[in-house]
Amino acid sequence: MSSTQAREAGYVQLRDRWAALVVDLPGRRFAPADSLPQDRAVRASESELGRLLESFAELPQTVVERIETLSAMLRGDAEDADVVSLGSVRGLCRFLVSHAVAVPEVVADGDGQLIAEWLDDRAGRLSMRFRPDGRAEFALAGGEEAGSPSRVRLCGAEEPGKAARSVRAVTGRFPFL
Amino acid sequence: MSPDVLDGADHVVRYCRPRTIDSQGRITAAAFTFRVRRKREEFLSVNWLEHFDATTRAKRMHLLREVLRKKLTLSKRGRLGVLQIGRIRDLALRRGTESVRLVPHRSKEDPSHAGIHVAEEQEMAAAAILANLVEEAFLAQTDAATAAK
Repeated sequence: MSSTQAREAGYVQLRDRWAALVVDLPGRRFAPADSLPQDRAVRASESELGRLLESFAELPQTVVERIETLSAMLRGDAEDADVVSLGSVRGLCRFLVSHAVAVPEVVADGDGQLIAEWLDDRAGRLSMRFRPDGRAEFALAGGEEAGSPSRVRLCGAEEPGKAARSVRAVTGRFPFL
Repeated sequence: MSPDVLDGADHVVRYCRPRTIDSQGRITAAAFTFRVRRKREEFLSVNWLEHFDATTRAKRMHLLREVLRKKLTLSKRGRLGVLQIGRIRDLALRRGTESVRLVPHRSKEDPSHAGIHVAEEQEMAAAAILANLVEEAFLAQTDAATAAK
């Protein structure tokens, strides 16, 4: 539905979202002609997410389920992005199927970008945010080897594989198996 | 009324949404990242815990939840992470920069409101450190003021 069609169907734009005016104007009963544009966008994105996840057959099922859960969580929070970033999902999945790393915890930022996180008593906390442009912002902080939870051992923005290898050069093995 | 500079021995509390909590219920670095989609958030919202006059931390958390409920929808799967102010302040002092600052943002509705300001280029490193500095986590929504861990 185009912007013009949405307006004609009785929707109004609130900031960047479309909403229905729930009032009956004289001579006109409210009757939405179609679903809201953002709902259609979310549905389209959900099916795209499903197809994308299916294309990574070797991905651990726990990660697939986690990404689907995060997608639903983002959708359910008005403050956050409506959908998970497909570029970010692609980046994380590619990284996980092509590198022998431990299965990370997967969480999301408010813009729908995925963050993989590994925790190790000695090496510390490694957080990698997968950006839609294919790079990862990462930071390795804390752990026994750092001596303080607030000491950053390594941080930057790199191609994810390169970032993980940089971390391995500092920790010895982590996050690789 | 909250002072202009919060005591280093005091604490701030961050509401951590379910998407930022890992499968073990732990608060991750995601809880300390900024939204940038429309416009970068100015700061990470936190609340000064000692503003609430009570004898125990659990009771203070109960009073804080009442304030937060007026502004936010607290999820059952969310967490309230407690961080010591002095340790946040040390981050900037040790680096000799203004990259991480804790500033009171009190309002009539929420005099305990404060913000952690982080320089954009330091965001991921600061997020990982702040997650490491969470000293206690409480359930965001509970009738009994019970610690989550």
